Amino acid sequence: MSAHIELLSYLLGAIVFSVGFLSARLHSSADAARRQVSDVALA
Amino acid sequence: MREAILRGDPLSTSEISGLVSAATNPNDAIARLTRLLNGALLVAAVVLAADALRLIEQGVDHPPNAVLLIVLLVGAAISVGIVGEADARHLDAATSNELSRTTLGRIARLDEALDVGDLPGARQAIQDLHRSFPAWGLLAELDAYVTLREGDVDGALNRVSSHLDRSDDVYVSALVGSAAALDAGKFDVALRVIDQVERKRPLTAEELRIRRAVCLLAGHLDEMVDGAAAKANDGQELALMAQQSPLGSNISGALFEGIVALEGDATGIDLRAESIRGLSAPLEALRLWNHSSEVPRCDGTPFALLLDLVASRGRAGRDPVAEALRLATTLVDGEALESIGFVLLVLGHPRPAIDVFERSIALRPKYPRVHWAHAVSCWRWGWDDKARESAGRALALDREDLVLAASAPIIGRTGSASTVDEGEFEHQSLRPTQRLQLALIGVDVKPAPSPMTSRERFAEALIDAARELHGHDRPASVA
Repeated sequence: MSAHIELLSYLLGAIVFSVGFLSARLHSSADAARRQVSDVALA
Repeated sequence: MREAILRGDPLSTSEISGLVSAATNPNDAIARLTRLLNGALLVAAVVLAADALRLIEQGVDHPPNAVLLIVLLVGAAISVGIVGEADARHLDAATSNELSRTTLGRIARLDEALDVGDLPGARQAIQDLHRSFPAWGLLAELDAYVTLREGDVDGALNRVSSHLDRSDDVYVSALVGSAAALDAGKFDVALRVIDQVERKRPLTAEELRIRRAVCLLAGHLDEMVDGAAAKANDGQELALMAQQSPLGSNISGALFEGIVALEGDATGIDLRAESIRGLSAPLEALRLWNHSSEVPRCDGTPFALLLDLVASRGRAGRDPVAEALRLATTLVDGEALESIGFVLLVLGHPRPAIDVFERSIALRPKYPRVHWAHAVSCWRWGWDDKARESAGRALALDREDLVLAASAPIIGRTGSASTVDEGEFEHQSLRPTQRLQLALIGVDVKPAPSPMTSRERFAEALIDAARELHGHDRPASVA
């Protein structure tokens, strides 16, 4: 049983790390696209 | 970048296509993989928690707070997973909403709509862009292109014509206009559109190729018989095109090139001639005619009928004169009429050829070769005075032409005095049309090396037929 709880803790850690990584990646790429497009200011 | 635009400096194709792809939804494989991984981890946590709860239910030894711990852990995992996914989706929507309001975003939307065939979406994107760039010619041309893809050929032609009438900002008018005109079987309109574009800027290599393909299908003698040699300066033009692009000389030109850039895996609007419906078949016909022994099938075109008339020469059951005249009555293209006249003359029917040449002269009075051909037809028919008059007109229009000069003393003569020395042409590099002309006045020039392509074989068939006309009844003796 303690093995189950231990594994569940690791999984939670992995999920937190992975969601954090994904969020950082998506936000930075969206910012880059916005910056690149607004830098041209064609509109 | 901003400074470059403000200064009016040209942007490179890669700069623009990079900007356009920045404005599209990013295709981030790592982000997609991470989202999948999150889902898998979440499923594993739920399965593990369910298994642990099952074991507790079966009475397996467990710490007193195990159930609470499991519920808290799995609850936290689910919360983090759901919040992460919701954030990713929200960010996606917000970014594409924000980018779609920028010009580059609109260009990217247009690009995508045309790529997937969403024509109403493409039209909407064009209208949105038009509000920012009312003078950008490409938008009017793309509007015509969308109309063509909707199947409204006349509408597309009208849009191209009205754009050419009021603007000098021209990119794909020649492609879209000629594709629409060819779809409607109007070769003369296709050529007129290309000529209109040429008056505004030098044609690109692709546009020159399209013009040659149209000339071929329209049955123009130069293109059918001489091919690339028809216009001696084509090579120079192509070299010029390779050095400079007439389209990328300003910002909207650079935007155009960036949008249609299709190098490697880059996406863009596919506006190459081969990908436009209506142009791929004529271009393939041009390629086969000039570079292969396979005869292109272009049913219903003047080219196909002329080919058929020459191929079925002398065959029973055919009335070449009636067929040629039927075609001639439908045409308002002086060059195509000239070809019909030549074929009639070569097949031994000078009288109807005279009428056809006269119609051609009415359309193109300053073109010396038609006057010359009219003269030869009259001469063959026995109208020597008329023949001399026409020969004189041809010579007056072009005193430099070798064949016209050589013909003048022959045409109209009935005597046997020789005036042409075949040796004069021995070392000349003559085009097939010039060899055909000489054969028509009974001057034998050295035959071409064995013909390989369809065009060469057609040219030799015409020249042989012209030689046969003089086989036993040569009107002028030759030294």
